[in-house]
Amino acid sequence: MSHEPAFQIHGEREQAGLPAAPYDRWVSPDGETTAEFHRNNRGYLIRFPEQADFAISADLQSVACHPAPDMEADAIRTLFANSVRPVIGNHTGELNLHGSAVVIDGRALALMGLSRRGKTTLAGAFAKAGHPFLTEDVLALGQQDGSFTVAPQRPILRLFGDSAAFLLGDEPGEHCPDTKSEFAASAALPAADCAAPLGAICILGPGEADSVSLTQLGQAAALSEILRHGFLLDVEDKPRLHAHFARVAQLASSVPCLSLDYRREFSELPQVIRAVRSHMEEN
Amino acid sequence: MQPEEMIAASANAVAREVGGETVLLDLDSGTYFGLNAVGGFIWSLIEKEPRSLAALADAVAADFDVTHDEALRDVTALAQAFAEHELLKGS
Repeated sequence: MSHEPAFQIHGEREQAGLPAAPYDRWVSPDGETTAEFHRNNRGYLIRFPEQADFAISADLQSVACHPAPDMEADAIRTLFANSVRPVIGNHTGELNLHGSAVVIDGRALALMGLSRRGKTTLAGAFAKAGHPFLTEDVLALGQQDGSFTVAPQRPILRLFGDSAAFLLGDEPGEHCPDTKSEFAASAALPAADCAAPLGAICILGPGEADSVSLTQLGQAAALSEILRHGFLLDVEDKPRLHAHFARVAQLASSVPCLSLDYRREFSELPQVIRAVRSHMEEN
Repeated sequence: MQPEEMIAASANAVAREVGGETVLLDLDSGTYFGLNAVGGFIWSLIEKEPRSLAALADAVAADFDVTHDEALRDVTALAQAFAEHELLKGS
């Protein structure tokens, strides 16, 4: 993107019905619609149900947000940074993927997976073990000297209460269990502030493995997996979809991709970190 | 499908070879498919120009260690799968 889109937050308003059905939607693993994509004569409108509407101008230069009633400004900024900005970037030729990343011995490890697979918790556990996190939700990939790099994003982890208590050593029940809260990077959970070359990608499995399982995926399987984690503004724009496919294919061809699964218990995380760190050291 | 039937790749599907396999993306549905070496080879031919199943079988038999009849069976089965998934022109 030549420059960042201008972003304005307007007054809150109820989400009125829209004249047409969305041309695309994001659906969570439990079937809930998390975003709806509409076109209008001014550009695009992304609706996050009961949260906010983001109107994107046709030239992608400006974004106007109308929050739903009672939405907090931080939540709006998170929606913009973690969802709206990445889809606009991908539409202009960037490669942004949904995932977390940490730095291990100067190389980035990307963590991808469906929602609620534990990406942020694992990134936090790596940070707690001395491997600073680069991002908790958006993998902003660049290319330098033929290699992919991961750029640092906001130095914030959004965590559910149990993960926060585990990572910060707080008492269980001290944090809200059902919603994510933002935690700024700290000495206990350090963030990286420089881009790092991408050393490997881990795709998090469903948590069905009896013990830590780490296996290398073939490039074609990696491509199929990574494609599930892109941000696309317009799935009906075939030239851009084609270009996005080509960028992801290049990524799958040049960066090792691993399938990682483990029981989702906090006590498993040190073993997960050892296994991944050992793999990165050997490769 | 008969051996003389001509098939061509749909313009709404794109392919990339990665790690010796071919991944095909249907731009209409966003669905992707994995093709083995023979499947990727056939796709690469029908991407360029329409080919008959018989001509494709000749090409497969020449490049892979199979007879023409074996190749024709494979080509026909794959062509039918492509057609079912609307990956061919006019399908």
